[in-house]
Amino acid sequence: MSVLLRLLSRSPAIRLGQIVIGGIFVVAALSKIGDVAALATQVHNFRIVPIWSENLIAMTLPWIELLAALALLAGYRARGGAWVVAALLAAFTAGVALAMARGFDFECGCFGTADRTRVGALKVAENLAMLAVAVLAARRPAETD
Amino acid sequence: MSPAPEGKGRRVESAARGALAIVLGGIALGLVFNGMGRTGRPPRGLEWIARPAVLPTLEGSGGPPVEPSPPADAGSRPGSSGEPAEPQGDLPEIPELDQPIQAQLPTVKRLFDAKAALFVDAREPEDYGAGHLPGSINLPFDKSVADPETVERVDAGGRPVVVYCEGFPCEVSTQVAWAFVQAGHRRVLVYTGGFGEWAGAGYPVARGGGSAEGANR
Repeated sequence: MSVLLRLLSRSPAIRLGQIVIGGIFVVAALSKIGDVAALATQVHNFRIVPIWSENLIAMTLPWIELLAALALLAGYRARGGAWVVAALLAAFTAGVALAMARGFDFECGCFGTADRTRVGALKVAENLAMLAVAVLAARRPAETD
Repeated sequence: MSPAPEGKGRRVESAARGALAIVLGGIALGLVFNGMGRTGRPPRGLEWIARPAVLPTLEGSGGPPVEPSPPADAGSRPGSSGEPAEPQGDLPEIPELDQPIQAQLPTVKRLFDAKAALFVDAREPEDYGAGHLPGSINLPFDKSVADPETVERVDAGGRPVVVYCEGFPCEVSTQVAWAFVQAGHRRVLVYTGGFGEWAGAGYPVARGGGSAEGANR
């Protein structure tokens, strides 16, 4: 286990994690930015935040995703970006899990309207996997930075 | 694996600063981008947030609250009378505004009895199927906001539009009413009492038809 952790703490592994997560989030952010109205509806579907805040979230959230993803890709402020991505993923996962627990069934809007995945266990697993990579990407490399 | 505690603290701090910068920068970019009106359709830019939280009330501007509906069996057999009543006579005057107006049960009942308004049920199809105002169309919030064409396709026939949902705590009727305003309607009422108050008053209720096509007609 500690050997694995040491391997993952190597700079290339962390860099790879940053690029993978950054790439995924750039795609997700751009597809959300392209259709704010649809995103606002998808935010509404989760029925977690008050309606008045849904549009505000729909307008700003994808841009936070985009900046964090670009930071990861560029390697500038990459660890800050990784923490933002990890926090977002944790929130998304909680949202999906909550929606599942309440018996909702809708498209999660995780990738805007480009993604037809519905809220469900698969999405939770997907998010947790990405969360793991994001946490990895937030690590400081063992050797250098 | 075990960096000096002091150095670690500084690194965490720098990562947190980076994260904060990203969050604030993202919020700023999002607001600027959407503030420029580049929001796609329908425009849900900054003005969406700035919408007044409290709508004007139709009955609020002086005058006593309207008395209960005209007698007889007006509401019991929708579709039985030959000519649709013109909005005139004892019907409330509905001003043309670029925002929805709240309406209370007596007003709504009179419009209903006179068939002088198009009723829109903003609830989910299941709720609509379980009971709705006779003659109302089902236009769920999700659908109408995601796809403004469902609202634009609605032809109110020059009549005012009355949007309702379940009752007082529900917001979706207000949002759908805004969608109608954005689609160009100028006499849009929100029946805040909603279906709960209507059914509780013993007024006519229709059942069934809660499928998706209810949104189209």
